[in-house]
Amino acid sequence: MSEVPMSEVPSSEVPLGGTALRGVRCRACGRTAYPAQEFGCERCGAYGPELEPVELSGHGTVLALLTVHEHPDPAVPTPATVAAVQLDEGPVLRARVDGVPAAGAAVTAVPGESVPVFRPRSGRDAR
Amino acid sequence: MTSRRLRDLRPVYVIGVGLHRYQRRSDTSFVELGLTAVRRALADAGLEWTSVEAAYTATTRLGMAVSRPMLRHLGATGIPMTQVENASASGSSAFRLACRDVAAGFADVVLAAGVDKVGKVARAEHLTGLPRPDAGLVVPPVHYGLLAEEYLRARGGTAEDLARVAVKNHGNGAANPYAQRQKARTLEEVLADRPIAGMLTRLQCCPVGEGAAAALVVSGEAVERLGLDAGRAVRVLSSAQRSEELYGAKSFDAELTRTTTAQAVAEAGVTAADIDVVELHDAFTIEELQYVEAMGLCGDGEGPGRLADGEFAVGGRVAVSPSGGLLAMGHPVGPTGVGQIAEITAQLRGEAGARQQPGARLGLAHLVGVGAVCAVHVLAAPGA
Repeated sequence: MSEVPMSEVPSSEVPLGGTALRGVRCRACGRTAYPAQEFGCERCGAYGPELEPVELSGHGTVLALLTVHEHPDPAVPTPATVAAVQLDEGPVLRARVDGVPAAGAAVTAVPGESVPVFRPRSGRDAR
Repeated sequence: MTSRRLRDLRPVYVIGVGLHRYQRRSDTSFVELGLTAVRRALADAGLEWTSVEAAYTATTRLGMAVSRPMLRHLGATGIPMTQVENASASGSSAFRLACRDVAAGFADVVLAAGVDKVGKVARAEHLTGLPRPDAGLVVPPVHYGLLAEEYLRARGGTAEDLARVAVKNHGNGAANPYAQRQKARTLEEVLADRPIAGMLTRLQCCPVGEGAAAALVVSGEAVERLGLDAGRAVRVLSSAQRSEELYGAKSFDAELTRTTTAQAVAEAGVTAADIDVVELHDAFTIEELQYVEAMGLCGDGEGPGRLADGEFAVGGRVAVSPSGGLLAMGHPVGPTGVGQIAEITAQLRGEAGARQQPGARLGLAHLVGVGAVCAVHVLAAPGA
């Protein structure tokens, strides 16, 4: 177990994202990014009030998903299913998924216990 | 202004290398690990410690100011000592700084060392205060497991395509006395091992243990002045280091590798097809498939087929991870980048024994550091 390289920062110390997907749109270059922040735009460097907080749709497409069999933090229950999701607005993020059959599925973010969980989008489970 | 390439300055050579075996956590002090590697490198070079003019020490989990508590036992010479941290690429960056010191003429003889023990590590990216929607679930094997799923899905690949990387590299590690894992494994063993994340089994994830590596970098003047063996001097043709850019939904590890390798190969005045031996960041099996393609060692999507054909084996067209790579030689982190230089140097001198790639003239060492940085060096055989 300890042989496998893993972050040793326990998940309890990880800042939580809340249940809404709050992103940011750069007024200077138009880039939409996740998460919301005022530090500066990763494309053009504009910062502070130039970065407009936006509520992201939460809609996206699963690029990949897998089962986590082992995790270094005993507080993280396994097995867990995690996916890379590309949001319709462009950003890619990794999050827990629930009931998603395979990559390519259309998903939407729903409130989880502390962070969002992605579920299949009703009526269009796959693209 | 166009920036200078390493090759525009005076020639830089690796004249001595040394390793302490990479191993599981033990009671051995980091001082003992590090001194073992440095003394072996000095002996290999035929150099006295008093000739060394500067030292860079790569480490990630030993805390502040590692060099002096270790190097003081070689005798106090008052030379500048600097710690270097760049995640997995720490040792590569220490080596790069040593090369630049010598090339620029700041010193004639510089030590690049790496030493690490198993221990806690804090990642700045987790301390930014920004939310992480994965709530800490995405540790490295999960990150690379997701890349594996995406890679295989896009190319119609199989779990066997991934596992063959581990079979090759564990086989190479079995012939490397400095490797943490020295046991050849069958395809069946790799596939049936304990699952970690998705298709990645334990034998497809590198062991993070302890160890040390050292390389002595010198100028041509030092070779003459100190009477060193020019016939064992391996020239460093180029040193490239870049950081992550915005790649949309593409794998940043692969894209960063693509641009950094292209720069290193161009600055060396060679092409990817000319390279005979490669050490790359195979912390997880998927990485080798991604990187051989991103580096241009084969075409996009050709990695699994070429691997299965033996093209990347010792004795194949280009030997990839002949040391066993991070997967089998191991990944103690601080030493890893310097250890790659030790392997490439042995290969280009024709001193790699059972792992020797026949006729190796050009070598390439590559590491990425948590996706944020990438370092690539191209080296040439003595007299090449």
